Amino acid sequence: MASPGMVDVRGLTKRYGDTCALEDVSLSVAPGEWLVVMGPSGSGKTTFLNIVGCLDQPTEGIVTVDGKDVSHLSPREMGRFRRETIGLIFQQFHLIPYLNSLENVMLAQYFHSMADEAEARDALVRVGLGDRLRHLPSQLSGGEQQRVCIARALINSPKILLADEPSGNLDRRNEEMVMGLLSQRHREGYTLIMVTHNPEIAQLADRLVNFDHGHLVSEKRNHLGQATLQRPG
Amino acid sequence: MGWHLVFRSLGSRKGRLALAGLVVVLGAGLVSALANLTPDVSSKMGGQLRAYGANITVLPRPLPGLEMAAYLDEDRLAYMEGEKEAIASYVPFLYSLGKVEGQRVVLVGARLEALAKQSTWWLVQGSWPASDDEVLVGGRLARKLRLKLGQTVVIGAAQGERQFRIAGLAETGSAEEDQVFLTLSVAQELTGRKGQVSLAQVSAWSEKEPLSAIAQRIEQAVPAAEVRVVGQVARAETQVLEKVRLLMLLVASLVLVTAGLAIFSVMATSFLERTKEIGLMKALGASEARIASLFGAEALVIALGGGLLGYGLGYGLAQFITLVVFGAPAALSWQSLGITLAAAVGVTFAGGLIPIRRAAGLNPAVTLKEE
Ligand SMILES: Nc1ncnc2c1ncn2[C@@H]1O[C@H](COP(=O)(O)OP(=O)(O)O)[C@@H](O)[C@H]1O
Ligand SMILES: [Mg+2]
Repeated sequence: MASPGMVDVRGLTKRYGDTCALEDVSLSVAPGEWLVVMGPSGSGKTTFLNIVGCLDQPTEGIVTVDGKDVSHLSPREMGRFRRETIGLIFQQFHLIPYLNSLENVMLAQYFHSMADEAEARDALVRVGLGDRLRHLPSQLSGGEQQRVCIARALINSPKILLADEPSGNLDRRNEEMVMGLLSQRHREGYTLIMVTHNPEIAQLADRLVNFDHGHLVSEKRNHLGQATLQRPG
Repeated sequence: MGWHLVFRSLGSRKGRLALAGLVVVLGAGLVSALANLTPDVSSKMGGQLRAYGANITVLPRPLPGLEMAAYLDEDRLAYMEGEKEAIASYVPFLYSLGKVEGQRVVLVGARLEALAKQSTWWLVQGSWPASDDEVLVGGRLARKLRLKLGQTVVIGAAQGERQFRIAGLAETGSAEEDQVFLTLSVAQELTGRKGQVSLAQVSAWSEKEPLSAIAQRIEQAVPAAEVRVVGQVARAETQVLEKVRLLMLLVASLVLVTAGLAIFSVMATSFLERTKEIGLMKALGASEARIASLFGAEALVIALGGGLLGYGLGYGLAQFITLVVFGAPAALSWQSLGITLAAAVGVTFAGGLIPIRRAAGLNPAVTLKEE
């Protein structure tokens, strides 16, 4: 690649003991690009996201994120890099059960620098949760919890959003809403890497890669670009 | 946000918190009881034992080759006035032979107000002499000579005689019943032994040093003196106190170790329940120090809360024990509050160290992995 990507992966291999989760994967993601990762269960999608998100380290290969080689960072440097550069969205939401929506978002600010309630409230309003600020996760629907998670991922203005099956636990309607929010972030210029099993969602992305048994097996550029999610019926 | 987070987290785990808190309260309560009791028991027990009388005797060293009795210098004994902390009181005595109503008796000159304090078990009919013109007469002697309370008697010795009023009659159960007690200075005058003393009885006590050390100091300060610790009482005092202290120390250590283990298990369990939460915090970029300080702050809240509550409980217990055993309340000591809180915090952190370190070192990728 001539121009440096937001993410550059060269010869990435990740082994857990005997199992090889990723083998010799090379891939670049341009700034502002929306990449969808697909593949059967156990093919290495989460492992790939974890390594790009500095939650894990490669066994071999070089991974550069936002111009920085993150292949050999110490746990402490990885932590710092995560809070500055990465926004994480999980299938299981991972909200702190005893904190309300506002506090869950403020938590990310707190670990990043300083909690700012007004800013956190704005972030929740933007995902449509202005009337759920003081609700605990247990008082929210799955879709609402995922929207809190998105607000939290965005609160520190990360360079990259990583979403691992963000709608895997959501019904159709909530999936649409969450995808609407994410594609809007994409239009705003965020780089977005997302794992999904839903081919319709894959249609929305700029590019689609397929993993199988730790190998990158196919890659497809989506020329339709930002198609809108088709409503059933 | 930090403290807010700590209290939210503690609030969400009231059951576990109560368990951990209870352990700390119990541990701290016992430490507090012991800390409040130890200095108090020592001084109270010292006081009680001292009430049985003098425990050090100061005698003149016998002069080699001389038959006649040696005497101590009264002025030199006065140094003991300055040892307020260790020496509760001392009574100088001058023994001599004299005559009462023509009968030979033992005359005892003494500092009577000090003797009265050391001889609380004497039964005195009437009162202790209040002036130089009054004497206290042993009960048996009074019966023998048919002396009455308030009566005037003539008492004589080597250098003259004088009239005295009998202010009191004393029943003591031993040799004093045959003696006559008068003011030291008057006795010295009548016998011609100004400034001289036959012996001194000392009532001494210190929590900081054994009686023998006090005795040694007296021996150095008073020339030609031989100082004897009245064996039985002294040894008993020291031994009892040593045993009490040892027992308290043993109980306190056992309680603290148990509390530490309990804290460890409570914190370790809570840590296991919270791995996902900790993993998420780390995924959000929280540093190890941040995680450790959050967990440490939770432990600190438990330790201080439990410690304060335990201190109150233990103080009450100490009050109860001292009231029952000694009939007087214990004094509140800030030192024991410090000891209790330090023990509570120390034990909580000793028990929490491993769980806290494990929490801080968690790998977020592994922790967040969906099951
Ligand atoms: N921490 C780990 N320890 C051991 N094996 C792991 C670990 N993480 C992932 N794996 C293995 O690596 C392979 C890829 O896992 P993963 O990336 O989670 O797959 P996917 O997300 O595509 O389902 C699987 O065989 C999985 O069992
Ligand atoms: Mg996965």
